[in-house]
Amino acid sequence: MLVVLASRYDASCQRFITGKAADARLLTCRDLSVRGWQYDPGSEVRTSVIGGRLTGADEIDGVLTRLPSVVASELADIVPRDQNYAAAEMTAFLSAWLSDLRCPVLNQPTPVCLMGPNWRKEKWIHTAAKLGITVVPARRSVPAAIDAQPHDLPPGSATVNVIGDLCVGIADQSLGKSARALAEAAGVDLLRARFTSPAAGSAFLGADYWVDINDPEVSEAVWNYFAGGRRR
Amino acid sequence: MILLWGIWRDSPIARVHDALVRQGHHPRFLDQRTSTGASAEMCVGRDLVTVVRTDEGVVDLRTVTATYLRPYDPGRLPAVRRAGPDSQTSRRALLLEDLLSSWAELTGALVINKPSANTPNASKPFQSRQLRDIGFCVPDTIITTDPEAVIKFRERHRRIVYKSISSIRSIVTELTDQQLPRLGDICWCPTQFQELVPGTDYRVHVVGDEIFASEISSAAIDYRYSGRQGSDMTIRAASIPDEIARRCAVASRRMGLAVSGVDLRCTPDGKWYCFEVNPSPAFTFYQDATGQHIDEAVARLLISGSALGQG
Repeated sequence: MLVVLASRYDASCQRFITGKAADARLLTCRDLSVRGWQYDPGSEVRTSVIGGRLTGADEIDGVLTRLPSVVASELADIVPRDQNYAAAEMTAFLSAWLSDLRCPVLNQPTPVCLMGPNWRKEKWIHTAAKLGITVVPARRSVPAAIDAQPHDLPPGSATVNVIGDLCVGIADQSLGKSARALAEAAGVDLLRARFTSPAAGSAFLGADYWVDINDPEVSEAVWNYFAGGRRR
Repeated sequence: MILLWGIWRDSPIARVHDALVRQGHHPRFLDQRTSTGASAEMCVGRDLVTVVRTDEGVVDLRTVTATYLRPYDPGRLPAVRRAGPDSQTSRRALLLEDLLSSWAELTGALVINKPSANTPNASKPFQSRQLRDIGFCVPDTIITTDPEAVIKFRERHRRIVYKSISSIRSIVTELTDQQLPRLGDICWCPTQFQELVPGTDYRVHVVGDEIFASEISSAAIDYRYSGRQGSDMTIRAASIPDEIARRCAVASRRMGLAVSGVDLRCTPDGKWYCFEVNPSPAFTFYQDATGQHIDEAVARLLISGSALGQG
């Protein structure tokens, strides 16, 4: 079974698993408030609750994580005064549980970001530059510049998705090579890298882990990654 | 230049400042409380250029060779509390803290400690696995939403405690019969239980290659709250086996920590358990009790600017 760890409000994850031949289920924070979880870090004895059903660790063939951390707004069933504490506890728990699974996990979590290393934009840019990749320098100021639009992509920009050894996206092969080098530097198998254009030599803008899993080509690559059964 | 970032009333940073002065250095101190009006710019490509402007002048962070960071939650700064969470002051304090954290992550200067090195501490079971790999004993643990699993775990170990999984501070508390009627509450959130390990507590501060061990005598389950638990506590300087000191140094180094506080317990039959490696130890509490000059060691480390594999 493929487990997709997702926000309870994330419809794209439901679309990702709907209609697929393979068994897949969503794991949301609601499942963490159900009797049945048992995780003993020192042993193989562990059970989880996935999609409301009690699940043994040996039933899980892979995990795709689409939730960077648990936030209070995910915990509507918990009294408001406890939500922040419960959110921190659930994040800490999931990071340990995910990192202890023997099946493939995209990406391996860290204690503060379940989707992979919690790199800021500046870290991606600096790492890329040190790898010899042309970059658009990252700038920021305090107070923030009035015209700062850090999340806007310039017109004509290109996206390269790294999924394991595969690169998906319409761009020159050299950009795929750069994206893979960045994924390797971060120690991740799943990455979305942005460049100023699809042409060779275009500059790196930034990266994150939010590949579009509803893009058919990306979706197929992710499913194939898990079907390959990469064991840690 | 040596840079200190935090608040003056924070004892470790004030003591390190004074130790640096005693050793003939004059660090630049960026006080969070008076920096809420500061401005800053950062540009990152292959090079890292960061400039901070305060009422006391301009700091070019390229000149920093070493830095000691103990920033407080910006939301707790007096100016931010007065102005409110949605104020310009609040936004500015958060932006400055984030910019300096980003700089600290990238700079080639010695950083005590890099923000990313703090992350294993955000999940105790995550960190425990690293500690077990280093050779420490770690308490038998279960994290569960199932009350029956806790009952069985308690039957196996007779005495168990519960504590937070995350880095949010909690008082380590024994699960007693009186609490059993509330055990059903754990269905709402995975909760961590551990065997109660008997023995004597030790806090070991690792400062670069220097080790400072202190022994804590207390009848409390969690000595940090011994007063609240109606128990006395004494702390004294101690020596620990070389192998245990070596493991503490290895743990600190593997986690990328130039300075750390390692919490240990030695059982009556001589087993050494490690509970946690604290990336931002308030060492003055132990220094005041033991007379160990940990502040001087931190100052020496900053002066040496030795990178300990960072940068």
